[in-house]
Amino acid sequence: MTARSEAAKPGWVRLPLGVNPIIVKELRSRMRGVRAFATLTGILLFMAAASYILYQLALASTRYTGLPISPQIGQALFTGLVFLELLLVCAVTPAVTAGAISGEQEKQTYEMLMATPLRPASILSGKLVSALSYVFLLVFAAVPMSSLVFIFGGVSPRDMVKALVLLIVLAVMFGVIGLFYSALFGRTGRATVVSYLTVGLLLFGPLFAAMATSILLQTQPPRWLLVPSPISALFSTISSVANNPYGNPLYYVFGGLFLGIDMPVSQTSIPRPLYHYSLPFYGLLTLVLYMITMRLVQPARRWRIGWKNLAAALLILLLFSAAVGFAFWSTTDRYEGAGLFSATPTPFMDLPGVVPAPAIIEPAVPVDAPTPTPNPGPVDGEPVGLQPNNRLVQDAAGIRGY
Amino acid sequence: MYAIETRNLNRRFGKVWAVQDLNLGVPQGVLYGLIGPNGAGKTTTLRMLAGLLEPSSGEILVNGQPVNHNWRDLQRQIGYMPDFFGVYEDLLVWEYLDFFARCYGIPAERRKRVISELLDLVDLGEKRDAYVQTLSRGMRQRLCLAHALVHDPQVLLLDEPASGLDPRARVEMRELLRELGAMGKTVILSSHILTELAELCDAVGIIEKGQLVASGPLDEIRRRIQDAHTLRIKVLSDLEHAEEILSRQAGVNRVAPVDDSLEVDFIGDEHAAADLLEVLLANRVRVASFAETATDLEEVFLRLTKGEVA
Repeated sequence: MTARSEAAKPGWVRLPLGVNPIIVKELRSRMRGVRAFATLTGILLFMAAASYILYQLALASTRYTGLPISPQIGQALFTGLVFLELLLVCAVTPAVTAGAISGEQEKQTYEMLMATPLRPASILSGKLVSALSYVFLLVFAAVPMSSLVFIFGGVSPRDMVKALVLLIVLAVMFGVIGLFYSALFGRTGRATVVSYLTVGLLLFGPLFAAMATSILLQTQPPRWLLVPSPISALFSTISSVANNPYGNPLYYVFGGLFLGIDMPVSQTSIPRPLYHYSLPFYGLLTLVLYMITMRLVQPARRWRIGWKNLAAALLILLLFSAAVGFAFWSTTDRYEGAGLFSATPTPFMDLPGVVPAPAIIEPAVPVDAPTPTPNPGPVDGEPVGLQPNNRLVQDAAGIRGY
Repeated sequence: MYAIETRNLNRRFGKVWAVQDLNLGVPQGVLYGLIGPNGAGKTTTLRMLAGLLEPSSGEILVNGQPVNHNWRDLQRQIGYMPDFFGVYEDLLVWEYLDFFARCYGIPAERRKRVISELLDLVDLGEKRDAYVQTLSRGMRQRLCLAHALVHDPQVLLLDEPASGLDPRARVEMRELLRELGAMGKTVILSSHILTELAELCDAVGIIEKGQLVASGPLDEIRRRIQDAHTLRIKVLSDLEHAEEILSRQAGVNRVAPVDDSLEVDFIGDEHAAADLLEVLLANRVRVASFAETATDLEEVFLRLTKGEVA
């Protein structure tokens, strides 16, 4: 009776401790012994070795072009490291989440948990947080090492932050995908296999689809095709850095496939970088899968969803779309409205003579021309400010000169 | 007031009725044993009582309160020990209990005290810092029992607490349960072994094919079991006629022709048996022999539960 009066409050704030018991338990068992630290050390050693190889590669290729420029080495290193981290996130996250729910069911501890006042939703969130804290540890542990690239230059902290944010969003998404399958199948083996298949499909499916369209139809593949792929999205966050073909590891691995991502700068607008679409897509997928999984972990009345829950789900989705909408709206003068809303008149508004004729810009930026390296370029999302058109012209000129 | 009461409790899995019209009343402070063969619906019943399974229909009352939307709150009054033991790898014994104590939201300082008290109770004090997976089966069973006690529940539901234990561990478990009974807790435990419960329980219920066949204080059930006889009657005249007469008599559960005799399951003492014979003779049935066959307690129990599943 005492326990009941102490903490019988239903709802989200039921536990007086505030710490989800699942997190405590998971961290206790996962971080015990040498295993966790050995894994971390191994991964860091692997990344260090990879960086050294990348460094040598970059050095070798700059030697041939006669451009042994430090920033280019830094950019090649950075690109390689960021994609290694993507590989790491893709490899580790499903492994630590795909067994989270099914493992409890297989060990027959799920019933014991269900008999306690711990709610299925808390189990799910505890599992997600504890699994992700491990993945984040791996990601953030590599940050100090990645910071070596600042010695070489060519990469701004902003590039690193953008890449990290995307990696974290991806880790959350992969984690939720693993949990979803874990709860759906109730078997760790099957959940693991299907999670990896899904992650692989997300990574490479769009790339192959894009490649197939370009080969079969002999046209530039539609840009939206690449939105779901974390590879393309990550590439677009660091495109100002990664478009450097000198010693860039991506050019060895993926050929020229990524060059199709950057849209030409038109007269009236600057295209948004791909990750502007990828992030909302990932966020939506994560939210929807998480909400479905919350039903899947219920022991009974799985699909008997009360209107309260339904309203909450709709509200969350609405808030999410509002946030995305606001983000798009607040940055619109940098992209869609770059030509329309600027203080400087544009050629589109039929004011010839104020700016150079569009003819100068049109051919200047071929579809697959790499952006010049030291200049973050318009696709980067850097504030264009009051005179976007001048900026455009500058960029165009820069590319032409190059 | 009953600690646990069920009213017309039903649970169906597809077309199979696992529990059918179960009316159970367990008074407070009683050790109640649920006996039945495997698949009789014991686990289903206990899982419904623990709030892990929704009844198809019927009502469950915990300490007089009907279970519906508030089942999460009522779960705090119930400790449940499943018939299997889930091990978390890489957890120490005290961490295992600490985890479940956290699940019940017990504050840190009380948690510490509760854990050491419980480890003493189940005699695992010196195993406090051992890994859970290194414990023997009997120790795990006791740890599992301890986990069901972290929130000091009034009612304990134990599913086959003694299954798979060696005699020594069984004795330890029995003593532990007696101790819990002495603490005033209501304990409902299940078993498919009659003698196991007979030594332990105050009251038993016999469950068969999802239905409660008999329920009451142990003495009463024991008397009923002792009064249960199987008679073998050899009849020289018309067998069907005799069968018809017998099946109409009070206390007769079953009449079946075997060869040229009739096998009769019958509840009643020797006087009642004599009355039965008298009725047969009065109806001009020619009886050549009239004898009792089964006397084994276990066999009678199986007869009582119709023995169809076992």
